[in-house]
Amino acid sequence: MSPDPRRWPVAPTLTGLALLLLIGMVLAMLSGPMTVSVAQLWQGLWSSSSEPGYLVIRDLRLPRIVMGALVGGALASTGAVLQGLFRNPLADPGLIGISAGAALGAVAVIVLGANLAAAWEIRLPTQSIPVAAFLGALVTTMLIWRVASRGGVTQVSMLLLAGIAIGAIAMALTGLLTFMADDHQLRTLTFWSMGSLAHSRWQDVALAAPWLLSGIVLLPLLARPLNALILGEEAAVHLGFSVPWVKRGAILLSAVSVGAAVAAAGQISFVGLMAPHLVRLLLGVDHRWLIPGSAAMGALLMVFADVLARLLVVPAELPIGLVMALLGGPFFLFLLLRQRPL
Amino acid sequence: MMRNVFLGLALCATCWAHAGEPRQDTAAAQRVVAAGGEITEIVYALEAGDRLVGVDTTSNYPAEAAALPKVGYVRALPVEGIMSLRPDVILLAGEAGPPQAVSQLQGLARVEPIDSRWSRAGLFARIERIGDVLGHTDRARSLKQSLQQRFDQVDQRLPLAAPPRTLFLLSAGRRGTQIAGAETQAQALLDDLGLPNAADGTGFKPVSAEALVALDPELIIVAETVPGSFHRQDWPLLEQTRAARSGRILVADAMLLLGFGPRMPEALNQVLDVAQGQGDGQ
Repeated sequence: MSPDPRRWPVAPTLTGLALLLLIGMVLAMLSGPMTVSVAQLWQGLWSSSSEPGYLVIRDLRLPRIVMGALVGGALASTGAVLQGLFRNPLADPGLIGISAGAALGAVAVIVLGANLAAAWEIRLPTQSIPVAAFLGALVTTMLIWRVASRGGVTQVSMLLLAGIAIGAIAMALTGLLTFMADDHQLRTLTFWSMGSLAHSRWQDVALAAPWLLSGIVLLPLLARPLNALILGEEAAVHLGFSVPWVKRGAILLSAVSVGAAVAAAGQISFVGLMAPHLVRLLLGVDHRWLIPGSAAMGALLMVFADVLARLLVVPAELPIGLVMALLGGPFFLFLLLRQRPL
Repeated sequence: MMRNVFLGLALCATCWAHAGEPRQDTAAAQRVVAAGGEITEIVYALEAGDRLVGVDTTSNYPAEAAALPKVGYVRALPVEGIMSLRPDVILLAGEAGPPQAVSQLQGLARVEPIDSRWSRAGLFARIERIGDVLGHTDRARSLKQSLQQRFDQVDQRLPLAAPPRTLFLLSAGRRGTQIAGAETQAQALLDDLGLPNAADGTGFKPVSAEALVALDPELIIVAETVPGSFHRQDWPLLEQTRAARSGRILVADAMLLLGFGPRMPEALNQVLDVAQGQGDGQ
């Protein structure tokens, strides 16, 4: 960790990112298929009038932008922490099977839910899809953890491999369910698997926010032990950190925040990979700045991608996961090529 | 050909019915968004196509509808995109969704759910409701009358002496061909004509070429979601069926066959023509 000459000063950069996020969110509030002026935006935020223009601002744009920022922030902080834990800049929530587990949970409810509910003569609760996605993420993570733990020791490399294997199994099961799905279910699950913020309402934000925020707020607490882990597990132990607890904390918080993110907005790739990478270019590898910086960067990327999702094919709308991957892929490649060899 | 004759007929009927009618459009919806191809067809059949400001992607008929802003697929409607068209009313087909978007739209604008039964009764209910919403009750009445006459003509050809066992395929390109089972619009169309479905099972299921031969249908109807997407030469085994040997294969637009819109008599006639061995079914 020698000081990097390219590194930007920490405090101004973090403040700048936060400001940029705020400006980005305001601009996002102003852009969309319906034209909204600054004055209308201001009035719309505070008035309780049920005029359509105000309702669009208050009940359509604001909740989806808040949701987008939270989901982006949670995915990016998780990415930063997992990359630190695995000491691998390519680790992301998709790689260790958490997203696949969440996807399986949601798809299972979409395809099998109605039949099961009919068989048991119950009505499916309205939020059953996100709740199932959340549980799917937790169950997969627990499985991966059990596989990777032997005699009370959890090996990081096993965690990664087990994650890939169990992720693959979950994806195969999702494929099986996709095959069984009818036209209507197929439509629901494709849009869901491509990721979308289009239908974030305030009640969805309320359901997901506590879990997403717990990731964004608590993951930075792992910064110091993760810094120590860069030197190796032995060194971290000698520096006085309880490595097993760091692993448990990182995995549990990741499962909770990624599960909630997938439940809220479907599968959105690249944020967890791209945001920490960008922040590392600005601030270096110190996790104390990397994790919160990634959260702000992830939120910013997500809000920006959502604006494009809403504007590119007006009056229709693109799934945000597609926008993110279409923009993120080339941009990420560009950054890699521009850099000196890693 | 049939299409033009029918449209002409409908136009004449409505013009004539309209001659002495007082204008009552003032309170009626002027800016209309239609989600559902059959709804768009009805709006045009009621000569109110100029009031449409947006339609969904299943609205592919008549050709004028193609020039309208598209709000995406009927099952994945964007709320703000639709609201940006400043609609007075949003006409939603039964399959319109997702549910969150529908409930959000209901909070923002006048939303009219339109009857979605796959039947003649459903079609009449749709025409009546859309006529009321558009302030064209009289045009709706005469459209229903002319359709009823056309249905009566269809019924004169029924019941068939020996209804052929029918296989209904939904084609969306080379790899996307599916067999229609029970509880589908296809089944509803077959039921209307008293044609037995050669396939069992419910819903649309992917087709295997061997299954086609095993079922050995006497009539095959192919509904294309993309016009020109079905190629007979892609299905060599199809030629082994009784349907192919007797030339009873009909390939037609999915929206025509399965839309249950104002072109329904035309769809029924096309199926009957092929079922009775008239025409080449193209």
